[in-house]
Amino acid sequence: MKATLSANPFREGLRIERTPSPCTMIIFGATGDLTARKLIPALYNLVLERLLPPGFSVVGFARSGKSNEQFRSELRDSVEKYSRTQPLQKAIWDSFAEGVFYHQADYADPDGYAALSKLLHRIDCERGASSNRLFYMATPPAAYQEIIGQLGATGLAAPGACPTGSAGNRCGEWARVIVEKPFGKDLASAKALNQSLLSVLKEEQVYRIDHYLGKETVQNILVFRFGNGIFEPVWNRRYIDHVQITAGESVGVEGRGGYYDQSGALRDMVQNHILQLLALVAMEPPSSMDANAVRDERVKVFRALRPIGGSQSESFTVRGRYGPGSLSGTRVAGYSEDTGVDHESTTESFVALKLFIDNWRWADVPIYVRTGKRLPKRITEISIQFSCPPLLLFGEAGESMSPNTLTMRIQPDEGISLRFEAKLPGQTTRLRSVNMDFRYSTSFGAQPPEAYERLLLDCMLGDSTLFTRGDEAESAWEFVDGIRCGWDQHPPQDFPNYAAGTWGPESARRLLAEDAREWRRL
Amino acid sequence: MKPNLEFAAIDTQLLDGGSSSVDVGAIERELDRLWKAAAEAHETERPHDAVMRACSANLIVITSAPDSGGASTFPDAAEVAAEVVTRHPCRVLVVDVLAQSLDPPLQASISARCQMPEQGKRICCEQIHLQADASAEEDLPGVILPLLIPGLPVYLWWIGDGAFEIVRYHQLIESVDCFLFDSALSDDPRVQTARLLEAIPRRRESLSFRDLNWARLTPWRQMVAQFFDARDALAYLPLLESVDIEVVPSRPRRFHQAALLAGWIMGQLNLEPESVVDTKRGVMIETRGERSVQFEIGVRPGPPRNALDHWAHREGEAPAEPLSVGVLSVSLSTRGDGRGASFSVCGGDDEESALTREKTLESDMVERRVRHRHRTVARLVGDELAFAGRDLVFEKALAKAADIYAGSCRAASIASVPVQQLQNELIRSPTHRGRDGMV
Repeated sequence: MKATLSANPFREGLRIERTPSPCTMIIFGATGDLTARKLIPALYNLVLERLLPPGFSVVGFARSGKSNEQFRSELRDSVEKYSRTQPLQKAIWDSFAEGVFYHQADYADPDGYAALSKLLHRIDCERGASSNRLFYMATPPAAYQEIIGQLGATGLAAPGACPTGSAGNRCGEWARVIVEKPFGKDLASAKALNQSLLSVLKEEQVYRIDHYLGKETVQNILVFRFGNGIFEPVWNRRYIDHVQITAGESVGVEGRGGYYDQSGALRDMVQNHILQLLALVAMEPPSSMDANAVRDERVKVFRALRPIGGSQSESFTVRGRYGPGSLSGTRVAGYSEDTGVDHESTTESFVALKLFIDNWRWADVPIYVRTGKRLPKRITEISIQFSCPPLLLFGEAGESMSPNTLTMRIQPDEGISLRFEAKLPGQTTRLRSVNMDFRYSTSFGAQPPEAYERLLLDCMLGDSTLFTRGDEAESAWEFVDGIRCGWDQHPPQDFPNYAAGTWGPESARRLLAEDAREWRRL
Repeated sequence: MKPNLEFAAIDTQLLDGGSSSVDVGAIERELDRLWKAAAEAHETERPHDAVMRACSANLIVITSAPDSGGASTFPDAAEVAAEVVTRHPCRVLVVDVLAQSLDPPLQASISARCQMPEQGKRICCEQIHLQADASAEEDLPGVILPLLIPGLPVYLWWIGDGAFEIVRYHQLIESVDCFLFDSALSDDPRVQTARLLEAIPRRRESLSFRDLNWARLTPWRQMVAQFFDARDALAYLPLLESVDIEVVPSRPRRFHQAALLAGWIMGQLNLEPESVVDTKRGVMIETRGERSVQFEIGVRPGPPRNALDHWAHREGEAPAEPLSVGVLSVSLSTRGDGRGASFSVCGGDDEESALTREKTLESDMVERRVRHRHRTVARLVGDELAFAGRDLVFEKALAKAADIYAGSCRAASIASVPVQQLQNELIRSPTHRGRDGMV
């Protein structure tokens, strides 16, 4: 009989704390863009870093017919094109590719899942994959419920399942499902999707992915806030005048008009990425870094968001759509000229919001957010603007004082800067704003991993901290639905209302100007 | 304001990699001048090409001591340090203690090491180069200490043999957080091990010792550890019966790396060496305790491979570090219920990968190839700079390695082939190129 050890003694002192147990990742929608651009390059880079377990295998599940060899060859091409590390290392890829399989089936065909079960069993026997399963929904959202239902019916998603007729083989310890965004299109559909997932799976098996949370700089928000003693005491309504969050994209809908026109900036960016950034900035310190402790605090922020609905949407929100314009010296077309866009639609490509979090820490502190396509540059940042000193002591020189601003740049040029006032050298007192800058690129030369690398690994390790919980997704939709409902009552009359290459409609500027504030110049 | 053209000239020269001799007493002032000049030059001449000075640590690099042959043991210390700062911005102080006399006996020069990231400003770190002859050696701490940037960690990297000659700089040691050395450069790892074990408990609690030869084992340790992350595989560890470690046949001094690896396994499994027996291949170690585990450390049978191929310069890459070659394979075997399980890692012939094999009762033989690239010295040092604090696992492994040395004549003798012999061998090699020869 084998004796047991509770922990791996060889992990002590190693800089990589652990690697996941052997498992197989099954990708539904394996022939799609996400698999080629993100998932496989992420897995390949994890292999390079020796972060995946021995026996790790991938099964691509999709409708089109192709052989294992064809599938492997296509994935190799995608790694050569999209991996952050180049060139491809042939020996490593070849070894990884031996564990990559393709399975052709229709998502609604029960026989396809029975055949999948057999294939997984064979992989377990041949590669020691331990019957641990990671299912990745890389399909259009419409297919989620069907796939989940089939996984439930075949027992494939049951944790701890032992492969049938597999005496001597390892039984699985876990089965997990990663669900890509969009997680629903409103509260009702999100609830229905949650219900569907939870009829087959337990909440701890479900990993709703928001790749923003996998970005190093986003994770650093918590470290910055709770790993330093000097910021948290001033992180409240007493010292903070307002917060600005900007997520600008210079690209347009780029041929994704069909999808985007059904979604818009509010659903595509605000409901997930921006509200997640807001939650990290505004949440209370969690009792621990345990996944549920962190997610409890995030969801509390969403619940404390002051609803915006009905007539309030006019005063607290701005929506916009870009028309033709110029970006970096190139003429670009307007939104409605993109393929797939319904010419009758009123979908917004820009949103600006004024939000309030009604809790003890943030009462009456406005939080301005803006996001849009075809803005002058790609930039995501959070800016905390502190209140001015209570008394201006420097006469005329003090009149030009700027408030202290702490800026967290999420992308690009990731870093943190603090703006404060300093005296210009000379006989007279003149003030000048200066920046104290921290940049990832200067302080840490190493290339950070892609968000998908971190998130896939976390899922395999069973750490759901950086994933959205069901109630979190629903709370975010509830808030966004209120805005959407108000907008539906007042269809926009002025679309397009900003030219491509500008910072959005004039009304976005007025949103802050009415409060005697202005957007940061970016 | 009119630019200071003299400063601008200094700036252009130094930012492009040149160095400038300066008065030892005015190093800090000259560095100030350098950065002011750089700022002014760029404001006027290249406003969009601004310069940013970055620093997150102090790195002192001592290349040698007079009685170990002068700076020739590591001629490219400044270049390697420059590579380190691309990942870990530091103020670098390179200190050469030379056997020959200098006039004046202590000399200094400064330079800037710059890189241009894809986005943003040009990022520069400053490097101070001090050269001293034996007569000025005792003055070095007094020069170095004021040049350390306050509040930042201090790393001292000793290059060459006789790392524990550092005790001569006791004033300096008091300000150091981490002492880096490379036991692969030691003439006698056995003696060095003994001295290190002696030094560890005596020094400040916060002072950490890091051996680059141990750092080279990190991928091996990770690959071994990875087998046992799986719960089923972990259950085999208490049944471990034998450990076999193979080392490069033409590199007997690499035994020390293997001894550290064996020491690590023993330390982590709480095994005590009981007997050490010399064998044809190397040494055999039996452990005592609840059960006995047999360790064998030996050279790989068969014709020696051309170990120098390991560090052939690849196009577009920094040269790999020759001393990375040591352990070739490690395998752990167990027997339980009459049937065996085995876990092995074998360095690949392509020098880019390793082959891992796992065979247990639960699965067929699982083989996979994983990346296992030899890291340059700069990369090894950089990785060590990323972590603070004492490495207690290393200290435990070192103590076990010392036990192995204590029990075996062969272990002691093959671990102490003089460094000069290795150097000569490297220089004879047709693949040897200047920068590669970091020994």
